[in-house]
Amino acid sequence: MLQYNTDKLDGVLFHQALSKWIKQQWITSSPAQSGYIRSTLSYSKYDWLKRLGLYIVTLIAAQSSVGFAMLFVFQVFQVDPEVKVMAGFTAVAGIALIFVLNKFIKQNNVYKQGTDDAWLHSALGYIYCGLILVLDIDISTHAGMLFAAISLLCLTGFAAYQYSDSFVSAICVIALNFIPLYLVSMVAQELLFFSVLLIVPLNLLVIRTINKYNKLENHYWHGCFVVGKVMACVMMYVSVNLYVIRSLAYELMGAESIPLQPLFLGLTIATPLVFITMAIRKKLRYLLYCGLGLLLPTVATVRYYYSVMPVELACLLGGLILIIICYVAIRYLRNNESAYTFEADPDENLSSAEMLLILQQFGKPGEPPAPTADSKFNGGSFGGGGSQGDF
Amino acid sequence: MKYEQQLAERLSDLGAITSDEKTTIIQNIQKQKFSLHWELRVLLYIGISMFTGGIGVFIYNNIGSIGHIILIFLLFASCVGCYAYAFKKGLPYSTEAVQHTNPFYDYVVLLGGLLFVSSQGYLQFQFEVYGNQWSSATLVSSFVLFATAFRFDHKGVLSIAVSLFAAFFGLVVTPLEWMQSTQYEVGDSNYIQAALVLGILLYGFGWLCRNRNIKLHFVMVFMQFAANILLITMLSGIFSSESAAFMYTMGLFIGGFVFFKEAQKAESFALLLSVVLAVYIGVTYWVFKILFMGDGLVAVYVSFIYIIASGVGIIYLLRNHKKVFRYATV
Repeated sequence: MLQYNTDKLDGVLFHQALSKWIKQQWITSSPAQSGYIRSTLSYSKYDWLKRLGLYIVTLIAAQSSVGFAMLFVFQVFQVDPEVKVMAGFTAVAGIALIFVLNKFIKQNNVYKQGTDDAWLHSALGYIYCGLILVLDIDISTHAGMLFAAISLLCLTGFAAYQYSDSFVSAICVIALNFIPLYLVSMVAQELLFFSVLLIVPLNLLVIRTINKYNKLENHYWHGCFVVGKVMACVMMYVSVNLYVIRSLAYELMGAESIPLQPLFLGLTIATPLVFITMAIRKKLRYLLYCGLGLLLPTVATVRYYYSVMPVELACLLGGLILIIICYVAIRYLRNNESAYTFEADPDENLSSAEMLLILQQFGKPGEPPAPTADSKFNGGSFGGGGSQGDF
Repeated sequence: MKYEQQLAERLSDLGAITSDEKTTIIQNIQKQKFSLHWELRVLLYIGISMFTGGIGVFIYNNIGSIGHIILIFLLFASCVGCYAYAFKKGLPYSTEAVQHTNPFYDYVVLLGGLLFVSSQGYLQFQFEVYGNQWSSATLVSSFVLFATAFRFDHKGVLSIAVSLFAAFFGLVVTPLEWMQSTQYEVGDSNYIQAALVLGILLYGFGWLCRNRNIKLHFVMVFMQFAANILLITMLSGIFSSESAAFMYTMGLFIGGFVFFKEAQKAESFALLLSVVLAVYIGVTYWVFKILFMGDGLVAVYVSFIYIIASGVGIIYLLRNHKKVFRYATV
């Protein structure tokens, strides 16, 4: 069960949607609508800078609290600071932090404001590390690593479900991917080369499962779903990347070259291009970002093994090609009717202040909605950044 | 059914929108186009950065084999071409913010600015146009980029201009250091004084822009740079100079107060964060210094309590910064 107030989260979603539709002038005000807006509760959104600042400060305060408590308890009760005792204390401190976090969330109208994120991450770190040390798990063995991966999967999966945390869900997907790898390596390390046979279908299954659950009634976990799909795509890419495969071969068997190298090279180059093509055809923004982001390691991998020209020439030509592609694309999109556009999405970067302004204007019955004002509360001196509204 | 369509259905069921509005929304969603605006803009920016970076390194690596005259001609021609485009397609100068509808405009201005900096560096390196005054190339570039930023209303170029201006101070200080000491040591005092002058100048620029109502959206750029430079300079002075530490601490508090007021005026969280962090680091330094003069174990306990309490205080301040701004005005 989600620890955050689901009614307020519904309010956030509905207010975002209404703000977007008003901004695009798809709807106009009426007494029923203004009544609805006034009656729905909502959390306020913090921009990334404020969230980051609060995250860092809370992290420092949380570590200091646990350190102080440990020092105090060990000093007062004259406890022998053995590793297992300290690990046990750490795990208990982590559980205590979870209880404090739940109380904090309920009492303080907090949602993704940096403080709760830092608390959660600290608590999970303490619980996990404490557990591993108390149970004396030997992570230098495959069985030890397998246990560590399974326990990480369970812990992060539970935390992602309870707190809808995207970072934790990313760790969950990574842990899930390592389980079959450790299972295979327990049989024979050499089989790891063929891990692509396991990783790719596993991650395709992850994406299918996420898509099955990605409905309106599960919108509370929308961020987790998006991040989960992104990590699944990244893990698929990593499992076919030539550099990763060759490094594994060298580490495990001392092999300087691998069979089917051209195949892995082809997959390394093709994977991001396939992601980009599919993203544009199916209009999937997360896949587009994946594809574009993975172009960088692809270029680095190809250049590492097949350096065809000096780096400055590659930058010069690559930059020129990018400029030409963008120029042609922008001109085409501006001058031709198609399913794609160069116009910016009007709902991007709708900050709390902007939404509030729109909804306040909208909430007055009989008055038309006002044009959006620039928010003054964004952080940074270069236009600031808001959360990306992603339906 | 699409996510947004499901939302429209739900809001219609809740009575927040009428069924006609629901139909309109669903029709608009189905007609909605997939925007590639930010993706193409970021790729364009990356392309320009790669292109100018590649040119710079290419010239540096091949300076012996390529004709210098040809290279300098190409650089200047490209730079002049960019500026010509900017003047031709740009809107007239205004003291207020100017929005260009042409998506390439900002990138052409940026490219022109970067090419100018490259050309100045190349002229100085190859032909020593400024004699042995290496700092002059940086200063000239910075002035031209300041003019570019104001004329064509470009925050990115303004940031580069401020960085070059700061680099000028660095270049000025280094020869001075070399002349003043028998060993070439990058000492503290001249850098701190140079940084102080730079910070005050940048604050002055920002203050002038605000008072004369010139490009008010540039004011926060100047203030942010000035705050970061001045406050970090004060912290450097506190850490490096035993004799003048108290004076730098006073400077930190005065600077912190001044920039707090600026943050309050502009309701800028970023500026407030810089001030809070800098002052917190300064205060923490003194607290720890005093604490660890005494008993080690007691100092450790008290320092933990201090970190926890001050952390909670900062969290409260940052979460309620609007209330703090209002309270500070009363």
